[in-house]
Amino acid sequence: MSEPSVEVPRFAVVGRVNKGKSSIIASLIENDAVKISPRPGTTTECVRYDVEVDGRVLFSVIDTPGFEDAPRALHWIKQREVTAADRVQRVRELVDAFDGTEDFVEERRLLQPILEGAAILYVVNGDEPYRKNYETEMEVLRYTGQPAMALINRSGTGEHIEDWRRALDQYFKLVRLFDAHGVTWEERRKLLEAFATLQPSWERSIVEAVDALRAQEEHRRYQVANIISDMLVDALTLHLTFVLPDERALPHEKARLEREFHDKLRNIEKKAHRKIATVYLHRLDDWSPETEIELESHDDLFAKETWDVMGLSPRALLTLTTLTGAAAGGAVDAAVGFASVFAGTVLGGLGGLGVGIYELTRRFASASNVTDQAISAMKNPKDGYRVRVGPHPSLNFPFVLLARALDHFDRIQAWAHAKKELPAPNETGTQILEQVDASMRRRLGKAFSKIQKKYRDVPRDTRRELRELVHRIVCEHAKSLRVP
Amino acid sequence: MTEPERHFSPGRFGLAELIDFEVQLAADRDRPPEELIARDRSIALRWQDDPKSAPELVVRWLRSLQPDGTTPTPGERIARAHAVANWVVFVLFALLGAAVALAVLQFTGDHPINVLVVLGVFVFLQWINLLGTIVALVWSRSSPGFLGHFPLSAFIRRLIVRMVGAEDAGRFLARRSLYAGVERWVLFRALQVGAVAFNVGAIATFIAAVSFTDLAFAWSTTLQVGAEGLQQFCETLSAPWRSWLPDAVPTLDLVHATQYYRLDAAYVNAPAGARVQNAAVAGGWWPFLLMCLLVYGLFPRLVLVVWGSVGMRRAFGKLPFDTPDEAEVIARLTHPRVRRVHEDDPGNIAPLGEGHRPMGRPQQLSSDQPVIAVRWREAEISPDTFSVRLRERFGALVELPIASAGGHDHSEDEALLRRLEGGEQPVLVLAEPWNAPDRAFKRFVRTLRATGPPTRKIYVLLTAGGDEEQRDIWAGYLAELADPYIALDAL
Repeated sequence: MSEPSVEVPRFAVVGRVNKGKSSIIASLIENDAVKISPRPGTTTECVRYDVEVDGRVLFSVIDTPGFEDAPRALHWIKQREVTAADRVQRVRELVDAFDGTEDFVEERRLLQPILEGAAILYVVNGDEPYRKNYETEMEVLRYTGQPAMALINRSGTGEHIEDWRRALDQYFKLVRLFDAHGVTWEERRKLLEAFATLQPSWERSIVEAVDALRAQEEHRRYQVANIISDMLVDALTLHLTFVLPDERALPHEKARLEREFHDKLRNIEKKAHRKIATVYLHRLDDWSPETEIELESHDDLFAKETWDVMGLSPRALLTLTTLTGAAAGGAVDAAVGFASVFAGTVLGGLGGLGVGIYELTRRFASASNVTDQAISAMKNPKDGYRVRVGPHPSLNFPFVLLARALDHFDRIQAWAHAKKELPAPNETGTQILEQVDASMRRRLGKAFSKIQKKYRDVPRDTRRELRELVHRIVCEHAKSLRVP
Repeated sequence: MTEPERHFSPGRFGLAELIDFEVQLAADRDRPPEELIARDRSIALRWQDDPKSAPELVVRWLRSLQPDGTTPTPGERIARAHAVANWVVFVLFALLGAAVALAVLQFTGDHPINVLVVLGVFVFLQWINLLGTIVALVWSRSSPGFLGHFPLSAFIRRLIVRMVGAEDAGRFLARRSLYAGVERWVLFRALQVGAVAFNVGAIATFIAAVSFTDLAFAWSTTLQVGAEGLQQFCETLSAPWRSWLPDAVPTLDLVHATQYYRLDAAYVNAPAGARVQNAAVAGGWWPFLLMCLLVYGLFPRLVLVVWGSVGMRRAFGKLPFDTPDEAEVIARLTHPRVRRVHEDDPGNIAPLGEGHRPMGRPQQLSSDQPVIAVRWREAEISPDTFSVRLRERFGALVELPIASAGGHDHSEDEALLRRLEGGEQPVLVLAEPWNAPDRAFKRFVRTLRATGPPTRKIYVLLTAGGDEEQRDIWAGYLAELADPYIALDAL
């Protein structure tokens, strides 16, 4: 890695050992390569992480070993201090005086980039009580004369944040809260923008980097929407044709065929979920082997519990089918100049309600019920007895898939790079699609129904319409991110 | 060296570009996204100006990916084949037109050529055909896949499946369906080129027949149509050229003179034996028929060829490039490439305490020998409470004052070391679990060892609070010190 030019903003992330410096860097710049472990002193050397846009380094973040002996370092400096003007020189002397010794190893390493011009990001843990000895670290940092900002890591309860804030305000120009384990894009953006205020000459670079990261974030949402809509189309159009020796074989083979069909649907969902994870730069393939990654929800796609939580609620489903029926009937009323006195609307609504009630019974249907609906037999004397399974006929099925995909998207967004475990799936019992407004659900229902009807060749316009709807939902959903 | 001439039209998306685009998408499908982003963004950054539309962007991208201009691209090859196929269609339809004209204009001398048959074949049938084509074009707009239901399409689809396998065929057919809007215009234009060729063949044959043979035209019908009625009809048909080409409008005399009954093989007004005299009159129909062929046969088809060409170009130009694959290419070209580059991290992430003996628990202490109590990193506890707890727990008598180490004032560390110098008292260190042990703590232990006997008992006592992981860190860290006289417990 080449040395960045002098003008490149550089930020040295410093603080006591095990206060989350590396976690903050991993989450801030989305890098799974940052080594994070509970071992004190995991970071033994300064490691520079550059953020490049179109080949130009726009800013660098430097992970440093933690402060270990700041009181003694300050003691050493104070013994030699003459005036405030001499302090920087004293800090330099500390670094130089112990060069090649085993003394002040970590302090010398962490101070080096600061003395070379890096701004200071001082990290403390808001879950832990404030102690006076931290002031020695802040003093040493203040002596360097570099622009500085404090970050209170609030990964846990954050019960001591106010104490910390009162203390940090006296030493730092800016004090910000940052949750390394549950950071959203907006929080990252705000933090990066705050960086720009530390040094006015760095503003341009930081603004450019934030713009590029924003574009990347928007594109990610678009990619996620594409993955979800492609998954929906693939799942809704999936149909398998099996050849059996004769009709009598069907009762024996039925369960196997259905299982194969549903397994394929599960695989379609699984593949899409993995793709969504990779969009957010989570490297799944080279994840450390001792780490268990549970990407998929524990609930099976076709489990009753899944359909209880995901998909449309009974009320939403009935509303959807009733309104769709009424709208179709209303079109007939309009066609006859309302001479029918809204009979079409009423009858259409009732018909839709009937369909909804039927769909409710299928919502919790077992896989075999689903498949019964989809089996069609076409006798062919040459090829044997052909049995088709699919496409999945349930009206609620695509909504269940969509809700699970959104929940997975939630988890991936909340899956900070500092964390090895994917956050748990939504088990609150609240239906995720309740957040989607009714008209959007109706439009989705129409699009799903079109796809199910034209499953052999889904028109481009329908695909596009679905993509646009899913994109809107994904963007709305991203705003209401659930941070665990 | 100048760049060899390419088949690409400048900045315009056509058939060659479409094929090359699909080929490139297929080639890129299995490449790592990072590699594609790097390649495409570096291409876009080399451009002097920004493309004005998505098709232009894609064309530029394709050109940049094929810097070697000597080898024709697959798209160029197919576009050339398509151009050749258009010419073959043209020749075949011209021959067909000539053959139909020869059949219609066949004149053996027995009976004259029926003008109504010529009009029927070259005007009315063609117009019905033309109407059908336009209806199909309009229909295909609302139902783009309808052409696929024809048996030939089904046959081709099955053939593709057999040739490349179901998965690739599915991908190909799915992609192909995206271009239904372009496909209908390509097909429509090809049909119109064929129709122009048909008319050109027919007209050429007509002119040749008129020039090199003597044709006799008449009109004959079973229907009750009078000469006046037919003349009126012909005059209406001649409306486009009547004003500037009056000789090509049949007169009432001509219509009267050329009414013919096959039953007696005679013109209605011709006295017996006068057929030879009427031969010149019978030939008088040809300008009118030629103009009909030109105006009602060739001209509409030429207009439709132009319309088809414009429609095709617009269809190519309006391709939305909005499928995920296409949008990804555009994003790679237009979005800044963000990379996270980092140096190697030599960080130590080995599990703490692995391979070391677990920490022992502190034992009771003798009350004869006072112990030194130390607060590490200003662990919060009142001196009285601390002393009482140590006495209750270990039976230890605490030597006052309670010392401090690792705190804000390093002189306290120095004072502690002076107290310990040469002594053997056990040292009980109170630490807060969340203040993870570090090099400073290790140095503190080393100094304790240096100031007294190696058997001096050092008890590390963790305060309440913190979590299990933090306590495990202390246990692991102290275990790694491998000092049998250090023990760990919670206070």
